[in-house]
Amino acid sequence: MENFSRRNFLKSTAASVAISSMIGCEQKKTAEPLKQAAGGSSDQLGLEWDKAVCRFCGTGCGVLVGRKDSKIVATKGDPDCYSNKGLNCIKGYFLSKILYGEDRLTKPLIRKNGKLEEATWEEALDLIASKYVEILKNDGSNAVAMFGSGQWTIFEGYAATKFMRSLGFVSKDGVGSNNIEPNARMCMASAVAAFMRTFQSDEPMGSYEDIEHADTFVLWGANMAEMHPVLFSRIVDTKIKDKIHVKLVDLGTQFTRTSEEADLYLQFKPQTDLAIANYFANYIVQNNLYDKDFIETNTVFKRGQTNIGYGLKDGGADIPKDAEAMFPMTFDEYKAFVSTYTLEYVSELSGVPKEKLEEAARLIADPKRKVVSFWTMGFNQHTRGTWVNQLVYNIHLLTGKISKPGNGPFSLTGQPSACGTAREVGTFSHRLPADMVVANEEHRKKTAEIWKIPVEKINPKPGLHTVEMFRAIDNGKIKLLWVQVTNPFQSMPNLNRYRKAAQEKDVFIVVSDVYPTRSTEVADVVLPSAMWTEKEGAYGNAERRTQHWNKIVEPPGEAKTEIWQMFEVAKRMKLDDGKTLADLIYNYNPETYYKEIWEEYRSFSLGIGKDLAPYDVLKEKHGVVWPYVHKTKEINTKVDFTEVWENVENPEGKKGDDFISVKWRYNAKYDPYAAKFLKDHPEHKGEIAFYKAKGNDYKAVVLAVPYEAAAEEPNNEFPFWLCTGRVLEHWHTGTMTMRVPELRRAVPRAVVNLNPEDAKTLGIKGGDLVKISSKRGSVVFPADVNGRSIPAKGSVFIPFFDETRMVNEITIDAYCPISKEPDYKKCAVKIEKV
Amino acid sequence: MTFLFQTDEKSQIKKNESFTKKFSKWKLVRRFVQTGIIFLLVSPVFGFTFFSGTLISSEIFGFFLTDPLAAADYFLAAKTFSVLVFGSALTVLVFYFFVGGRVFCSWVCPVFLLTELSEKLNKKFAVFKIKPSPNQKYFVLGAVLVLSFATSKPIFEIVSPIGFVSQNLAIGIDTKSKVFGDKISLESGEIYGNLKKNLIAKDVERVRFLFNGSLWFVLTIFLIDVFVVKNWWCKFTCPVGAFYSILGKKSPAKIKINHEACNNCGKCFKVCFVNEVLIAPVQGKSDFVLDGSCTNCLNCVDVCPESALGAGIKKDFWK
Amino acid sequence: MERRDFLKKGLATGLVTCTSSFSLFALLGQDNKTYFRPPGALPENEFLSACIRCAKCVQACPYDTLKLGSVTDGKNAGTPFINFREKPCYLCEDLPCVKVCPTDALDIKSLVNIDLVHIGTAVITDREACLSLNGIRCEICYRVCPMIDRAITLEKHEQEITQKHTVFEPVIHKDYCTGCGICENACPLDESAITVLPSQRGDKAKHYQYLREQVKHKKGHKK
Repeated sequence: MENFSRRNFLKSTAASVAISSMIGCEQKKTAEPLKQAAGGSSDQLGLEWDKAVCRFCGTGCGVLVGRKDSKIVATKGDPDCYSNKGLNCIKGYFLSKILYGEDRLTKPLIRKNGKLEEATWEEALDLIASKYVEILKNDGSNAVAMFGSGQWTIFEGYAATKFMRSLGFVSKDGVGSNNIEPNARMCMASAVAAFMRTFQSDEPMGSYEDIEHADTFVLWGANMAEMHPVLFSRIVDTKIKDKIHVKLVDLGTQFTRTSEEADLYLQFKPQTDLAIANYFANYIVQNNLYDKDFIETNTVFKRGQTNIGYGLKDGGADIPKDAEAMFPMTFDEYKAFVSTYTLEYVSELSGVPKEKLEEAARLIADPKRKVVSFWTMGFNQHTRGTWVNQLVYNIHLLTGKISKPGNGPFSLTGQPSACGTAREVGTFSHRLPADMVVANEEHRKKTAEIWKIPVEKINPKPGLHTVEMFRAIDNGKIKLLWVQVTNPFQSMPNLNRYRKAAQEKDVFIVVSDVYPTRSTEVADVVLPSAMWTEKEGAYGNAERRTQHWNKIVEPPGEAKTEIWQMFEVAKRMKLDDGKTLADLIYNYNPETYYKEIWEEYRSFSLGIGKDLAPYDVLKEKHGVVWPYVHKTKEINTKVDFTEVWENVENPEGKKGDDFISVKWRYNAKYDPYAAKFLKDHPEHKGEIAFYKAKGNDYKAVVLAVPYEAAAEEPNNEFPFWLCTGRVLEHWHTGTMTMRVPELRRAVPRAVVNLNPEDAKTLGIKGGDLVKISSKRGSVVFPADVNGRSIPAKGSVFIPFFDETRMVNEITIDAYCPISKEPDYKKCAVKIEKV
Repeated sequence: MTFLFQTDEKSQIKKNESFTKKFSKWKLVRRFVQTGIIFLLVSPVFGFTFFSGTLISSEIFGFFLTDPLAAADYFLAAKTFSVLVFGSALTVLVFYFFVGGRVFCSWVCPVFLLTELSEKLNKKFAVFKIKPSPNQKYFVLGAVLVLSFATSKPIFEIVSPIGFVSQNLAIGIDTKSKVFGDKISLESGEIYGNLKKNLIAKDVERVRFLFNGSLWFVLTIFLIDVFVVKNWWCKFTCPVGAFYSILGKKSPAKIKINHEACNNCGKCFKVCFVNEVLIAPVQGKSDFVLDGSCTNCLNCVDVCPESALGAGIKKDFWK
Repeated sequence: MERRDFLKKGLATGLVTCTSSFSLFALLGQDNKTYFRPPGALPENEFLSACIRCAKCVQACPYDTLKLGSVTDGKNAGTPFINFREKPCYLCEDLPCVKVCPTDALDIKSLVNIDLVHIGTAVITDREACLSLNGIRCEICYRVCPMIDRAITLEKHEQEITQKHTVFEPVIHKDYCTGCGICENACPLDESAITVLPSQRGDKAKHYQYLREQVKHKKGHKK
């Protein structure tokens, strides 16, 4: 009896401690009751909690932020956020600490006589504005550029794109500059291009909830166990619930923590993912496992242009003009095309054993199985990134496993607002908000109307994409670059060339950042910025969920938001009529400008199936998925859904609500637009309708493209493949996570992961320093042989977070000719023991 | 209790008239060697690889050397035998046998440098003037060996100030991050990046002193030497000294005295660390300084105005 | 007379010196701190007998992992030890610390393979604090483990509160754990939830085999 009660006691204490420690890092220490602070949102520790979103990967985990005495002291998972249900990974657990690194930038710095010196904001802003005016007047709007980020808040991204594209008021050529790029070009541009080419609407159709509905997970070169930890935890839970039926298929070029959990691991040679995807399509077609009705109603077959080059020459001189062209073909022609990708051929090409390939194909094609494909950088950072993305859509389109709960191709993102800011706001050089492009006159007209500027001011010629933008600096064509919220001088491929250009060429570089980075190192002006909850913001994650947060604490010292910086520079750009640029484009009330910007931006999205939530809803809810559709056209959309409203489900709300968050786009059961489309087009059978694909008669494209070799393959001199990426503990260039002492202690520096057999052949032991060289340079790393990642024989893996040894000095700046996204995953290197 | 300590008697030698200071040739050489030993002990810090270890055990150009007393302690404590330890100790043993046992003390041991300093300070600051028997060290040696066997611990190595000083010289200075750049790269918990460092994070270049608490023990000995007992450690206590005294007794390398030249000025007594060893030869009872406690420091040779003293070889040393 | 003097004075002062200094050391070394020794160290008692305190191993350690005991460590003065939280053992394959040991205190013969080093065994000592056990995707100890998937594996349970996520519980297997302490060093909590403890291997009944040893690991390594 005594035993029993003691055990019970222990159990209950353990449980309560477990719960409280799960909730946050600070609450664990509730030994003594602390005074109850005034106000409803504070707890017994005196912390005031407010909602926000994690600053790191694209999962978009909701967090609650605890403030005490004007300092953020704790974060905990937000149980009301659908994306993570209250859990975080270790980076999210330490989220608050990224604000308080010892060397936060708190004062503007201006380079004088080669050294950065502290200056006042007036000096810095006047200098930037005068440089802008000088260069715009002398060289025109193509000589200035802005390099932003998928970590821009939506407000900042919107203000930035408006700023750049309106520079025509100042420049001598009278048109704005399209030289604005987010670092998302290096992150998911291939997914964007593929979505646009296939569905004519960007972003995934599904939701993270697919994970609970699916039974077959196909991961293409995505180490989700480390890169999307909270999502992977959901996948594994689905697996635990039905150990026998649920299968996890991992396709990759190295054995990762994901492979360890996988039921089937296919290790293929780099670049042969193209062939494997075609083999799966072949298997589906040959075995008549395709959904005939679905194909007839919803797809159109096309053949892509081949031999499209690699963008290795400046200006893309080696890329054919019609690289993006697609030519119609019939189903039979498609069938003949994929038939060359036989099991034998693909097995030999890719190095994957036949049984494994066939087993994977069988799982994917099985009509009874619900299949979700996940991918991230393995596909996107690929010289045929757009193709390989589309080849996976092919598989889902052929089998009809798309836009249904538990079925769908799901492109994950790496940055918290790659979707929200880069894609939806349209901060790419060729885009405008809401999937519009500068080259389209209609789109320019709509934009000019909302921005209240003359349409001629918007430049119809797409600007330079990321790699060409940095090459233009080297070629002396860009004279001014403003870098915000990102660190390109660590993250650009073939880094040596671009760092050298930044240091030697006549280019004025402004960097807005929170910490000293490898980019502030080459800057002429450094502006100290506010980050995360030091300013109001909103991020959009990979499942189209927009999450808003309030300003919770003051930024340190004189740090200011990027949006304020752009306002101030625009205020200093005088126009001929005495007005300033800010009067024209930033004519907002200083008290309520966040709301005004949001509502202005939102007006782009309404009525076209990209509807965003109103500001007040966004502020209140813990994340809202778009399309956030209203029932009637009067309130905010141009389409009236009253007649179909009753048939559409609302998984994140109640039936009968006036708003519906669409969790599965193109599916009439969940998407009022699709329901309306089907009602208007009775000849369209089934419940799926790709209503955005107007250009293809509302059909998605199944694309026939072949395997083509990588831009650089191992040879006698450089016999190894090099793949770069991330680790769980650190994020991107490590500027934030490396300042969290706990994370830094866990993984203090980048190591090169070697295959144990290769290490043995080369006589390299764990901990030895090895020099990794490519044609473009060489870097020294400590070797890790029995590590968490085991690359295939003949390849090495190096993460890129370490600013003291930058692997990008050796990566290649080849890019996908369609998406213009560089390939960080494949280049040829040699290894020498130091 | 008085019989325990015999107070410093008035020396039978008269105070000498001042004389022109003779150039201390041997002292210079000895200082050079002593400094050299310290550099040898610190050399691995600067990336040299020919020497490693401490005065207890070391490796020079691939040869192992072990302090014979440490080896004896080890055999008694671990109750085992090791050819390597025996061989390396024998090497040292043979060497010191031929150069004169306590050459180790005055030419090699870094603690002796402290003793020499304390000797000077003692002249000014001595609070007590206690003088134990110079034979005390033999009992300490015996106790060390017995205790090592009884407790199964190498007793002297645990408390050895020679060990402490040489350990701290060997590992107390850390410049690895500077010298090897990357070797210390698994540093944990350092704050990353620093605005003042040209806005780039670098591996911190620094020299750190990691001296450990054992040096407090050495300091205690030094203070005893200064304030309580002159040369307490080196002359009266150190079992290594005792060991080498025994070894040195039969060594061929001895101080030789020319009785005819000696004018009994007594200068040698003033500079000698163990001056009782000089009594017999100066009184003409022997041609050599036969007592093993003599450290062959050659201070007496330097100071002798008549060059009556000199380094010599006792040819019939086995007798 | 001389001989008696020799005996009396020498013995008496010798005794005073020895007893006072040794009792001082005995007093200093009273605490029950566990000292973790370099790879290949003999069992603790034998190690203390065999180590002649030459500090060569400490000097040889390329990572400054090995610390040297001082007088305050009593009988451990001059002996090498590891403070995992400060710096763990990175298990150099060429064993520089063992190679330089003049005695057999660090026994090279016991080290056929660096993977068989056994400094201690890691144990999750604070299950309530462990982030992984609370469902946070941490598992840093698992990923930094040089014997990943052998010394530490992840056992998966459902997260009871969300019922959508998994708890990845790090489980340590002492047959493989080298006690290098990299996990203890890396644990992101203020007080490490995973700690290396001293342990002996193979304390199960000699003739008994567990079922898992009889049935070959059915999954196998998927490389």
